Amino acid sequence: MAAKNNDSSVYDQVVKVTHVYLGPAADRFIARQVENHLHKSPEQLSEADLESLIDWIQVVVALITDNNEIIEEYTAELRKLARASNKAKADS
Amino acid sequence: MNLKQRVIQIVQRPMVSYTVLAVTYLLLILVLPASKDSLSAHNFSEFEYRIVRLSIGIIYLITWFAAFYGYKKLAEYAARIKRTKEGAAFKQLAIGTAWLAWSFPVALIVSNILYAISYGWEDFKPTAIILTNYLSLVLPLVGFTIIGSAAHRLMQAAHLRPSLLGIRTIAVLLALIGVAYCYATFTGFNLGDLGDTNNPYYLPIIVMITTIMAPHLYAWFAGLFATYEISLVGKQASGLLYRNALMLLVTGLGIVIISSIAIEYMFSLLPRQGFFTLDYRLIWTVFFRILAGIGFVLIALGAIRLKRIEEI
Repeated sequence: MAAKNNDSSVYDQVVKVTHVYLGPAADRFIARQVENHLHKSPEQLSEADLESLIDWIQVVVALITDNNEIIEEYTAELRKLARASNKAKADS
Repeated sequence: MNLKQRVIQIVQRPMVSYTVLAVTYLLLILVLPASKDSLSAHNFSEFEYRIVRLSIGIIYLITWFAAFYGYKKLAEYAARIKRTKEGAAFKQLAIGTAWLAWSFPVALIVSNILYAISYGWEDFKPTAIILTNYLSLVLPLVGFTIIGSAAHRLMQAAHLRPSLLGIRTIAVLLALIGVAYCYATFTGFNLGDLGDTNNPYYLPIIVMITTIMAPHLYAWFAGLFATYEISLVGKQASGLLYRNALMLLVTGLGIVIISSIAIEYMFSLLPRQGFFTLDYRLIWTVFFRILAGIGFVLIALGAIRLKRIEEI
């Protein structure tokens, strides 16, 4: 149960970062990426999936905007989140 | 399939509707009789008259295309997000935009037919002008009202409230527009006889005030307020990429509403004559129709970007 709570918090954190760029569409966007590319339900998203998810997001966001600065800033925020999650996991 | 279902089916296929309206309008330009007043006013031959009408008609057709394409894209986006918190508001926005897109071709085609009838039957001219005035009022009025409701829903979904300064600005703007409109309209009336219909609108003043002027003022208020609320939603929306796309849509909608108001305002100050004339009225109409067309293009671009966010 604790593991499940931890997993859903990863999803929530990814959505929170994404919200800065995609606003109300953030939740739906991340859920779709997790389901379509990682073939998981959003609740099953774990720290281990983050790197792969970020790679997919980088590709997909490039289809929404040509602005590389925004894409890099967004993925940098997500990578920062991934590093923090991995560190927290290692510490525990 | 009953008539209502058929009408819904046609409206839901904007590009088919556009083609039907465009072909109808072009045929009417070629088939309907030319106004003797138009021919004598500009020394046109029948052929020259139709060439001029066709040239202007082609500009109109391009702007109609933009309008129908714009509302099609907005409807597609609304359908895509129908199960979300903003879904119902965007659906309403698409319906209101569709009313505005339909308003110009419908009013123009019907008025062309009515005017053509009046060329051969002079007594029908007042009826033609009265019906054209009402039609040009009712269609945008419905559109503005629906867009206003949608804008208010979006404001509520975003937990936004109109500012006091914003409301006061709209009130002052509407007061200025309204006073100028009332003054210009009343100068064409014999105010000593409330039942007199010898005026450019062919209506007694009391009917004019209650069924044309008051609804116009309401429509302009609804349009201006909707523009204000939608612009707030666009500016305050969260999400950099989402906001950029939404701002395109919102800017387009604002341009469409303002240009629609401008055209109706112009025809309120400078009443319709019941025949085609090459004058400053036409120039302004074409200018504002092109502006509205640009607005619809922005709506389409915004809707395409928003839809892409929801698809990939």
